[in-house]
Amino acid sequence: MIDYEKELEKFQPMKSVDQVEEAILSENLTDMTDLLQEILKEKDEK
Amino acid sequence: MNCPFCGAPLTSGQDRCVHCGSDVRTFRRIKNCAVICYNIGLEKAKVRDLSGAAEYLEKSLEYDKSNIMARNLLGLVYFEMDEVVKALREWVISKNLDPSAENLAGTYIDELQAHQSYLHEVDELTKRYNNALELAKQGNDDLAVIQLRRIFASNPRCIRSGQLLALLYLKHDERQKAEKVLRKILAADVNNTKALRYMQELKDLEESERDKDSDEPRVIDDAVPMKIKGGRFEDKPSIFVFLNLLIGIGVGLAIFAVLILPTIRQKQAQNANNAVANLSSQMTEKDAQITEKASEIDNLNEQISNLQGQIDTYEKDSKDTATAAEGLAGLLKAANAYASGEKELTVAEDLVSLDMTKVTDTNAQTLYKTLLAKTRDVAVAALYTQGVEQEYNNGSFQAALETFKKIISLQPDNLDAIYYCGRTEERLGDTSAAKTYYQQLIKDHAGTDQATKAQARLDALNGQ
Repeated sequence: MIDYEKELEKFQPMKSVDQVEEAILSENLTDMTDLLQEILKEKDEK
Repeated sequence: MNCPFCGAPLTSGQDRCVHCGSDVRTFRRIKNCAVICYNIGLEKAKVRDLSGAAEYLEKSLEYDKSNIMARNLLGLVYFEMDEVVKALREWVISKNLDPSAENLAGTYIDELQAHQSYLHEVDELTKRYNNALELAKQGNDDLAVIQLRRIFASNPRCIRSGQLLALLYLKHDERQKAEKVLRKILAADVNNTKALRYMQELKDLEESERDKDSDEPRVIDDAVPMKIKGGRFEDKPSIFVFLNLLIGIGVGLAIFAVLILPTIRQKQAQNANNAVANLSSQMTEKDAQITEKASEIDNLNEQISNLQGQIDTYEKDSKDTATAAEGLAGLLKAANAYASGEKELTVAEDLVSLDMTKVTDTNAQTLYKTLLAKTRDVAVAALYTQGVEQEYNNGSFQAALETFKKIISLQPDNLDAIYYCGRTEERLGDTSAAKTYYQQLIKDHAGTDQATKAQARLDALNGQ
């Protein structure tokens, strides 16, 4: 059974076109390669 | 593909970077995963599984953020789901990572920027959706449904609005409407997770109701109560149903007559009054216009009559002037004729025929009178002598009559000429004409010798 109130909470307001910049800045661009590089870097430091 | 440690280009099949000697096998595997995810996302996008495509393309970018094709395709998928802001975000990042002209993201961005009206529409749609979401969260479901229904009807690609609308329909147990909306969503996005989940909820509800129905004890429809013959109560058809129906109709008619009918009549009367008021105001206005026009017509008629009077005066003046001019011309001609020795009779005849009444010049009038006196008297005397002595006495009565008439034309008051006209007519045998001349003398010139003689001749004629 769906809990309608909880389900409703999952819906978020849409962003307007003016907020594109904000959307770009909030995007996390870290990918798997970045993570692997960090891990290797930490390992080398130890 | 470049070495993630030193940035040197890697050739295919190498496990280590030739430049820095780092092991790149793991990075190759990660890149391969990104490619695999992109391929799956592409396949899903081709069959309009937009949610599935977006999921795999996002995964591909998590493996490799520099996968430009995956990012551009993700933007396209978002755009198709009417998530324009997300689409723009992906394309802008893509263009930033790869500013080359070959990057399709630049084309997409340019296309969007060229259609500002579309972006404006998107903004409007976003505002309306956010408003509807706010209403739904405040519990104003009816208003939210109205708003969402409009959004989804005008733009079926806006999957979010459809999802929220379906959820609200489900909440209010409007299953058919919810199913219709969900089917539309699934036509646009065949594996939309939320839509599928709501659809499953619908099915679950139906199944649970079916189960509930099967748990209830069976009703034996065919069972008929036994009749007790000769019993007190017999199974008669119930008239209460018809009574209730009649009462219901009666109550309905009464409500209509008491509450609705007077309002309708009042409204009709009000409308009629308004119409009458409008018509009477129009009539008053028209009357005022008619009065004004009539006054204008009277003024114009007065002006016309004034102008007509002026025209008549001018015409009369011009006629008088013309008559006076003719009189003067005739006078000059007669004067010339007299000066050149023309016969008095001819000159007198010309003068008598002139109309000198309109000639105001006193000199001309004096000249006319002088000439007339000099010529007419001489002419009359000569004619008289001719008429009496040469014609009448010699029995030329017809010629004499013409001569005497000529004298009368020159001098109408010549009594001798009138008398001789009567006598001549008598001689010619026309006693009636003779009597007329005699009566003229008796009536107009009583007491004169000619009148006395005329009376004697009249008596003689009457006595014959």
